[in-house]
Amino acid sequence: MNLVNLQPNDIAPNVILVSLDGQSIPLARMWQDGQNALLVFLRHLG
Amino acid sequence: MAQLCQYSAELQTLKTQVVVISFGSTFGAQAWLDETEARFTLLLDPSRAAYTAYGLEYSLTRSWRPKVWLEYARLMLSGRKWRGIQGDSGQLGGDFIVDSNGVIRFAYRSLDPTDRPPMDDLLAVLRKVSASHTNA
Repeated sequence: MNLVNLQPNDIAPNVILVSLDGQSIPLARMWQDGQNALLVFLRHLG
Repeated sequence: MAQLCQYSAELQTLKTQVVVISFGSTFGAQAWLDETEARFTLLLDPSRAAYTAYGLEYSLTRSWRPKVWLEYARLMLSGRKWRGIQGDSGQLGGDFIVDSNGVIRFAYRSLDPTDRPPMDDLLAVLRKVSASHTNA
């Protein structure tokens, strides 16, 4: 399987995720309004 | 994660929102939040669309290499509760910094579940991003 190889300076993909209360949230909402986002993708160790 | 919590004030100063993304269940995610007492935004990715879009790897071999077992042992000895394996243990994670223009400024894909970027590296990038916005 070929994996996407995103690098610095690439545009961050926007994906629809789900909040704990079941709402659909566009990931791009996390870096709006002058805010940076640190995305932490969990693995099974947390 | 404990390290991220420790630096939450500085992350706030650097105008950075920490977003934790999990492919686990709502129940598992809530249990994880309760256990870690993390005050970060947590989003669920049940289809792993984001894991795929960000190119995160899958490896059962690397997920269960001896150093991972040792890390589990260390965590349990330090008092962490065993909740069993949540979801697909072969899915690896990663860390990305995205600036306020939607541009990736840092990309790190974990080679195994114990592999995380040093906090100093994350902070250095965020300070640089913050300085470039201030000077713009």
